[in-house]
Amino acid sequence: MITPPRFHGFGLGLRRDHYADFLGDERQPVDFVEIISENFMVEGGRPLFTLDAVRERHAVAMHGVSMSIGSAGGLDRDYLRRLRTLADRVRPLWVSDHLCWTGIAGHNTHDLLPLPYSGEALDIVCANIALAQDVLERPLLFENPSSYVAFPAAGMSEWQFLAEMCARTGCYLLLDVNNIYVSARNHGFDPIAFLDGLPADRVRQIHLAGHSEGDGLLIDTHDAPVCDAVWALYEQAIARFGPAATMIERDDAIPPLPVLLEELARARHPLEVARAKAAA
Amino acid sequence: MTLAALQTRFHGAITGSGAPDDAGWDEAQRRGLAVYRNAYRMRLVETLRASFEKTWSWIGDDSFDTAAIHHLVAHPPASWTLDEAGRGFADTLVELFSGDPEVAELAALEWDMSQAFIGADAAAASAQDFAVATAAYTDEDWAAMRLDFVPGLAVRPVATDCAAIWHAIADGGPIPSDASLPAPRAVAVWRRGFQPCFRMLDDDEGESFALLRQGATFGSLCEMLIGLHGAEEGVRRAGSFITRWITDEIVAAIY
Repeated sequence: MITPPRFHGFGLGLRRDHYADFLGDERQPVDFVEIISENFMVEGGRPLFTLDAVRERHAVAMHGVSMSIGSAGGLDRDYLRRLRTLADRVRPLWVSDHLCWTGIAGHNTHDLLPLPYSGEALDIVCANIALAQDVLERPLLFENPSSYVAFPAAGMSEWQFLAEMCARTGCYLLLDVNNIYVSARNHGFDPIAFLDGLPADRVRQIHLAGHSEGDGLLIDTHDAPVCDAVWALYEQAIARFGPAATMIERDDAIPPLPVLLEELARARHPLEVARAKAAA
Repeated sequence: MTLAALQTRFHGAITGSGAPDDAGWDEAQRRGLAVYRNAYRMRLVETLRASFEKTWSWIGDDSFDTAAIHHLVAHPPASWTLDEAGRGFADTLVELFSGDPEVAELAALEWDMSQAFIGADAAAASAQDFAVATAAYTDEDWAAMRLDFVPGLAVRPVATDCAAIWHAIADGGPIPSDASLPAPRAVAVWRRGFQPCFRMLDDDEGESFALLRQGATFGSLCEMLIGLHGAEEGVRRAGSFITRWITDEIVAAIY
């Protein structure tokens, strides 16, 4: 098993709009990049060439969207094998996906669908994680998703579910601060209680992103800068979990790279404050 | 309700073609289901628009989106990769645009290009490679020669000049007023370096491709072309095809 390292850098999601920046003469000032694994689970061509070239310069985290770890129908073993092949090629910091399900009975919605936080769901998720970690030969990270439907009668809070999932499987957490904020607003829970309920030693990575207002719901659109309320929640997270690999996610309305680098600089601030306090 | 039952109901509520089954969901859940339902359709239609950009441009937003939703209802995505949602879309367009065969042929061309883009890497044989490989060939060796083609090569029969339509849309050139061909031809799609490319094949070039891809020898190819064109022209055509394929970087190996 390859344990995810304690890696405290700052990074960005590698998106096609910025390939030329990352392949240019100038090395971009990031400590790591995160790739969407499925975009590179191909036979050959430009995607893998680009990935190999970026990997020569930067540490890479692999982030997937199709594992469907909460699927009652089990996991797609062909998918896991292909993911393993990519991981062997990339030698990533870690491999992550989402606490969600994407489809059932052979169909795939390609969305991150919400789970009921029940004992039965926990059993299924933990069994699926055990299989995935066995194939990947490493503990995985799972991200808390944004959700628009909740199942309050299921029994557990999301953070209780995440904590129990980590304890039973040895997996780690990719904490998406924006998703906590979005789900807290949509379902009326306290985001601080969410942070307080997580096992601090399992948080290896943090996502920051923007969202938009829908019809009575916040929607996790990744098409806008991180809002002030999410920055404030991020400071709370850092205060509890200490430094973790932190990055900005932008998947739509993607600005030029310097704009994202400037936004990423803001993520460094809480850590600099904490270090200054510690040194005083 | 078991997790499997809940997921089946949830999936049906967001992917069904009719009105969603609201029974059993409270008001907040119904509002959230509408978000997932809308996102499901939007994401998949946008994926097909991106994969079939020229086809979308050719038939317009409304016709394309109607066809895309028809395809997604008839063939719900099953693969772990969203890119596979476009598999079979050209067949759907054959059914929906039976009077306009160029629509499905343009979509098939775009699909083949997308597959070539991510196909396995392989070095194409150069003219020098070919010269070295065949330098000491006897007549018997030439007759027994076989070719391997680059991975991702696709050759499809077409009844319309979908290649001209593709170029007209891509380059902003004149749109062919009548895209139908006087006789069926074939279009080949492959990748040169990292770039997918294609061209319409000459008269019996498609048939020649098919023969060699089935493992036939150069001698068999010559026999077929001699039967069609006579000895001198048949051999000349066989040689010119191979020269062209080498130049096009379609040949991977000579053996």
